[in-house]
Amino acid sequence: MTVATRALLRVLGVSLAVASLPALALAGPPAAPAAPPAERPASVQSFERLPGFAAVVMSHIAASIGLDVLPAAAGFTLEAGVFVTLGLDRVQVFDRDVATLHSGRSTDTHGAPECAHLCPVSLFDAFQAEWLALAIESSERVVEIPNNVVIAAHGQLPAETLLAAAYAAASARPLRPPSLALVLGSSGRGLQGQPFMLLPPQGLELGQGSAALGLQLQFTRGRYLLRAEDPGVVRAVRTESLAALRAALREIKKRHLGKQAIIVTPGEGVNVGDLVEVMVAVRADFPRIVLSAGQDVILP
Amino acid sequence: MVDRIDRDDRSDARRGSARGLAAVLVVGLAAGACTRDRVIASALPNEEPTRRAAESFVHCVEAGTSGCVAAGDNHGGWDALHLLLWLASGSPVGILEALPRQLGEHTNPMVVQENFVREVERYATVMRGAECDSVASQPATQLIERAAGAARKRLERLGMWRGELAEVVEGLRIEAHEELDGGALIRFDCMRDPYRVYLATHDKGGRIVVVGMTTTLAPEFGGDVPSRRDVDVRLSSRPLGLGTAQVPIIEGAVDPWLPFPLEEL
Repeated sequence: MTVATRALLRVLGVSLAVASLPALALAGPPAAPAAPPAERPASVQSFERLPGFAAVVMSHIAASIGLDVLPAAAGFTLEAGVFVTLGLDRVQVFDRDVATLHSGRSTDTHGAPECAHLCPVSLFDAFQAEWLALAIESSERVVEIPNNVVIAAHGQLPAETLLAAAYAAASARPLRPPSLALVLGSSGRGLQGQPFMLLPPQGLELGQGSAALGLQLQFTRGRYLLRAEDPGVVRAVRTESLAALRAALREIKKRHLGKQAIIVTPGEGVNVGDLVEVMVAVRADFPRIVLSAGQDVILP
Repeated sequence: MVDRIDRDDRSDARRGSARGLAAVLVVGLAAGACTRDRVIASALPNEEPTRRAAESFVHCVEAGTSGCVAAGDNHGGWDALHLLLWLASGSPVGILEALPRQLGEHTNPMVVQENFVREVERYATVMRGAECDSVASQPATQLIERAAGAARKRLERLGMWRGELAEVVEGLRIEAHEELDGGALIRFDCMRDPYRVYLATHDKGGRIVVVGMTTTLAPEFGGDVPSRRDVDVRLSSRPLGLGTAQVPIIEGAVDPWLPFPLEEL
């Protein structure tokens, strides 16, 4: 805006706040003064409080799948973000139904290339549409696109459905995958979260000199196989006991104090409740839990 | 509740609008720009005045001339309705984060107007080649009621319906009625990004003006779920700024999917 225009607007009594608006769209004949501030309802002006994120998630889950079906364990504070609910019959993003499930499984057998076919096309599309809505909201309301996705899943849900939904949500997010957490029902402490990561959809291949241990746990119900990429460094352990698994992990940790991550691959028949049990067992020694659908891990 | 606009009628309207655009441009040239007091009279067919005003607005934006948003027009009614639509269908996490600030901004007409200008500016460039046609219109009065009702039910369901918020929703509902009754929400379908544009009109003493714009509307309020192609394009489009955004790099991380130091693996 030119100095002359500013001066003219000042003379005409047009607020400089209006006059400083971008030139392309704002019109405004100088002779038309901006409307005087309208009276807004007092209630709008006095608004102050909203419930917390965890309280909103709790209300939604209670009305949707019920709080008692969540896997129970102590966890960590739930960070605000996109909340996804996985019941046995549907997938919800916030409180919107975005996909149907039959006995906890998707009927869509077409894998989306964007998630290396680890998630159904329909679920990927649904999540991508949600991320678009969030991106538009971000531009209109000047908020960040959420960096967290918290997933509340029925304890009986197949773990592979959880993984498919997590891969769909994470692959569809623009820019980078979000932080992920599974919602836990913690008696007396409200809802808490168990953070986790996902192995990249195409698998993981590290170059020479990475010095990665690559600790991996594959399991079905009650059967656990713990191993590392180099059997010379960590000998494989097979067990049917969670206590024995914990003991083996503790031994490995003693020898590799700097290692924090473990790749966990739930097998056929494992449900979310089983998975949480394992997550709780491993996190004491290896808090960075990386879930995998069985992709390749290639270490030097 | 949403009146679809007949295709033939739309074609006629487009031709008429083209004639109207010529008239507007003539007026614009004479006046130096599109001006808020321009009169679009006989050059356009006898169609809904609200739709005609919305189409003129789109043509103004497409033409890239200055002066599409008129200073002094009260945009608070649309802002109130837009807030209600957000409460009814926006993300709860966004609402929790931004509602107090948004309500604060709503109390300042200058900020409300500036936000509208910014929204028009955001899409002005892409709209020029988007080939947008008006396809549907719905009266604001009913939409306000539906949005307020849906917002209330949703906030109750999410445990957010507390005394103060109830007053807010009621206040927004009343304000939207006071300033938007008699107006309409006109939907434009476009061949290219942004694919959908919704314009709110307001009848100001017989003069119909566009007072608000959005590019998204939930299906329950007359919008639709975007196609895979539309989503792909929009997520990398310039107005949303994601196509050119820098991806944050975490030093020493294993992979974008595994944002922790490699030594920990």
